[in-house]
Amino acid sequence: MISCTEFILAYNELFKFLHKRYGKKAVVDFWIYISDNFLTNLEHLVEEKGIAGMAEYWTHTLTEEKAEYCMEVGKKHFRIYMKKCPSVGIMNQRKVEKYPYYCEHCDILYKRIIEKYGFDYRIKFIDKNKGICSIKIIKRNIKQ
Amino acid sequence: MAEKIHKDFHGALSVGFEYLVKRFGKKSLEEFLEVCGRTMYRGLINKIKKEGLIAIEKYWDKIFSLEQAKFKIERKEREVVLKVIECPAISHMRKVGYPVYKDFCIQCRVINRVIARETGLVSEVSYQQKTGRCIQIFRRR
Repeated sequence: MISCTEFILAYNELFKFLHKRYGKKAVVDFWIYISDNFLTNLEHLVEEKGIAGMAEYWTHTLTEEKAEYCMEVGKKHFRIYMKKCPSVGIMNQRKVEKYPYYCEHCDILYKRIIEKYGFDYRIKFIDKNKGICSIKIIKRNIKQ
Repeated sequence: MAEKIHKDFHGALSVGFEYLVKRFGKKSLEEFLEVCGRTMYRGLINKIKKEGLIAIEKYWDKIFSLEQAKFKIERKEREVVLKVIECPAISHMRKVGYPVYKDFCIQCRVINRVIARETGLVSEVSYQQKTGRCIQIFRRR
């Protein structure tokens, strides 16, 4: 059994495998597939609770993944500042060759769901090698 | 208290298998798992080469304990046997309602085959995905 503690390595291998065999489009299509077929729990939370649902989802996942992050939850906005991405940390620790576009999955996977419910989703990759990024989600029609 | 681990990843892996098979066929999934066996388990392969069957016993004990699985390991002189009474991946996916790819257990058969090939051992895996039970064996030739 590929343990859930080994999943990030398998995920990274899958991206590289798809890219090498079938091109980047197959990787992006996979991310879309994951978003549509696996992240239904996030979708239900956002649909039902909006920003509170986002906070619930990411608090659960990032705690279990032992991420180092700051979260800001407002009435009209939601932010995550990722200080140490757990996935990047695992790959750096195990010295595996990271898929060059690895971090992009966090843009496609979540944006697709979040923007469906009236929010703008922006991700900024600050240091992909160290696993530092920020996600900013804002309720539409609200000036920053 | 048990260490927190993100078991939902099993569901993401299952969806990944489903995508590969739907889009590129079953052969593609087997080839991907072959790659996983050679790359992700390189460290384990090297340990088995150095330490023998005890390295497999230690590895299984570590991951199945971490996943809070119901399992038994028996090591004899020429073989090490893992009996999984309730697969933690399958039971978690069923508990939270994730779809389970119809041949999710293929991963153990292919990855163990790669590990055995690389270490000069023989592997046997028999499983019943429906019940979440399986028996995995590594044996000296």
